[in-house]
Amino acid sequence: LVQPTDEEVAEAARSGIPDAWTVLVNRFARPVHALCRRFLGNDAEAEDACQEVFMRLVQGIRSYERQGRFAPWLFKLAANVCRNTQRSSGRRRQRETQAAAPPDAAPNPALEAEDRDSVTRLRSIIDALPEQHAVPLWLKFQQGLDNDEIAQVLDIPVSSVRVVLFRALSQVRERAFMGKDTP
Amino acid sequence: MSAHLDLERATYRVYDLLEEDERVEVDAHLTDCPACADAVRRLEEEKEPIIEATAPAPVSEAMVRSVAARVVDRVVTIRRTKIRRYWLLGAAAALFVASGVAFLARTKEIAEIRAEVAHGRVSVQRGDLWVDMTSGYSPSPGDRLRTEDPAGATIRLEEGSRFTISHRSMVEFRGTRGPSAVLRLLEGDVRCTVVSDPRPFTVEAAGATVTVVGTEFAVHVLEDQPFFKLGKRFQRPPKVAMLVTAGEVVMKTGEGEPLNVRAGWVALAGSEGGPWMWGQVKDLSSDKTLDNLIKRKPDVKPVTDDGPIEAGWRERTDKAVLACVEAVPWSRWADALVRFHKENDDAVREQRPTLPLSSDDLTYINLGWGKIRLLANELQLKGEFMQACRNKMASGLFIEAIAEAMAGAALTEEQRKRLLTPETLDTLLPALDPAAPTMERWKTRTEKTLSFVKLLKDALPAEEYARVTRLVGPSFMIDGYRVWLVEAVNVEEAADRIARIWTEQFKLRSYDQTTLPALAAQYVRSHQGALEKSRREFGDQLSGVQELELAAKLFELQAKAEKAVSEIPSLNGETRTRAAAGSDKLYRIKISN
Repeated sequence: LVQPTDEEVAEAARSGIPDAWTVLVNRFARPVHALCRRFLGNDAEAEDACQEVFMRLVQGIRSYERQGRFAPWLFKLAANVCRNTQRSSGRRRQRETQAAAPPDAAPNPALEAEDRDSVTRLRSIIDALPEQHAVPLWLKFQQGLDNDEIAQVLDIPVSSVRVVLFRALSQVRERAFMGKDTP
Repeated sequence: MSAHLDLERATYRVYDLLEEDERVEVDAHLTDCPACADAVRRLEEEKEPIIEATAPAPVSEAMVRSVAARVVDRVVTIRRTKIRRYWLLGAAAALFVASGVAFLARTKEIAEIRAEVAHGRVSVQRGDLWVDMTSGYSPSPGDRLRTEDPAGATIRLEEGSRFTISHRSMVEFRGTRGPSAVLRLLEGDVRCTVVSDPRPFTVEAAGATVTVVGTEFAVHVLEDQPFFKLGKRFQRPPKVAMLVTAGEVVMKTGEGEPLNVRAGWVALAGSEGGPWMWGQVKDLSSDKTLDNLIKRKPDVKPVTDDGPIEAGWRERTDKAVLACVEAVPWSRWADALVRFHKENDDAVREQRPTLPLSSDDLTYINLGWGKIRLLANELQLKGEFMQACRNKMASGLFIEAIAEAMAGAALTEEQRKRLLTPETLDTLLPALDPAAPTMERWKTRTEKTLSFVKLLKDALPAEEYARVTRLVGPSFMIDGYRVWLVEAVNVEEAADRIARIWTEQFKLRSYDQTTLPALAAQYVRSHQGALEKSRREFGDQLSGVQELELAAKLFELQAKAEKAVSEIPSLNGETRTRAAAGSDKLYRIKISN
């Protein structure tokens, strides 16, 4: 089946077709919500931010130039909305404070082999990461963005992206697989 | 590289974060260094669960729906606001210009207006009163005129044009012909005979304007007309009807593009829709009011069975189509589609038959139609756009696709021209009725299919027709028909089985069944007779058409037999109704002995 790409749907939405907007929201509401959740840390605020992102998208879609992919452009918009929300509510600091304490305060002894596969446990660890680590992981591994696009969304130099990803992965490994051999 | 990989580089390698040259170098090292290779392998083992764990928790469907609803609502609001803003801006500009022009022109205009009642009596509104005036009265701009005269009242303008206000109709006289309207129709009918003059003669009615330079036409303000069904064509009821009796008239509303209407045609419009071509009047000589003409449909041949064609439809649909095309670049298809629409609309406007499209265009449209359906599903496009596409495209393409599938080759231009007619459409569509089969539908389908085959015979050369008819029967027989094969060693056994099938099907268990086996035996014998006759005439290998003809005969015999069952005197009403409706299967009886 030939499905229109995100960029094509965005073009249609830009030309004012209401149904194209429905498609756009259906495609991106979940990822945008997930991104907001990573930034803001709870569902209620993420939902409000997600609404706000799409309202801004309606106002600002004319500024989308169809040169790059639509998804990174939208995620950047979402990231800006989330940062504004954080600034206005002053929660960024709180969240970082929370994130500083891993879910299991005591360092884990060597985990059994089955723990290595425990996705639930890993998910709780990733959920507790600070946004500057959780968001790049999500952009890279769930949204398939390349380094340039991640840099665009996070507003950081391209050369920093893999360093950020490494730090994020290291944190996850430290918390999940502490005590295991590394090269 | 001689030193071991550090964790950072090993991680980059595992998560594909290395540049190409770095990766080559690292891979070379891993080949020579079992320790690093082992470390990388362990990191690889952790990779999959970590990536999996980066997936977010599921989001509720309600949240997505709520966001979608708010977004669409917002989009629609923004569009409305823009339109309103432009309209207000335009109105302000127009007012500014008009006031200046009006001031300069006023003196001259008053001097030029000369109109008087030529025939009949009119009532002129003076405040709350209506004052009767007769021949010789000159209405002033702004006067409201009505008449109780059964013959109407005619007002003649100085330049020779005249308009007749029908019985119990009302107009507002605006002034001489020129850029602004001569009169506004408020109720009922007005018939205008306009002499040739470079200045336009304009009538306003319920949001529509009708402009001519020299012709005859009638305008009618419609009351709430129950005969215009809202929905498929009219989302809002039309408010004005116009019949052109000579020459050509331009009808306009605030919305659609202007529509040129020629003599003999009725067009509709409203303050919120149209103008639409509605139908062609068969007999222009008869002196009827438009109201009667429209209500008495036999006098008017509608443009399409679905009703009128809306002017401006093409523009809107093409806009939507092109918006989709911009999203999915099928430019060839779009071009073909636009040509197709244009030809259809031009044919309606010019009141001529539609010319066939080139085979290239048709191919692209066929391909594009499949694609746009996918796109429409994806975009969840519904309603007007899809309906409009279907109305415009489905009929001709459908016939062509069927005919080509049956002929096994592309049709020639000549064949296409002969096949793409309303008759074939009318014939084929009921034949392909997808509804659940009943005896009645089977009968109709078979008859219609046979008619279609006859049309094909006229349209195609003999050898192609032969090829088509080898396929047409089976394809229709297989598609949707449920044939129940009854195998038996002799007529008695077959009759017994048919009787049992009827008993089961029509729920006849509690009835005296002495009559039933006799009817079944009679039916089986007639069925076998028909089969035998066909075998004698055509042999065992029937062509598609022969098979259809045989099927039609067998339907007839079965329907007759089942009707006889329904007339068994001891049946109660419900059972009788069931039997009268007939079986939902066609029996094909095969006797092996």
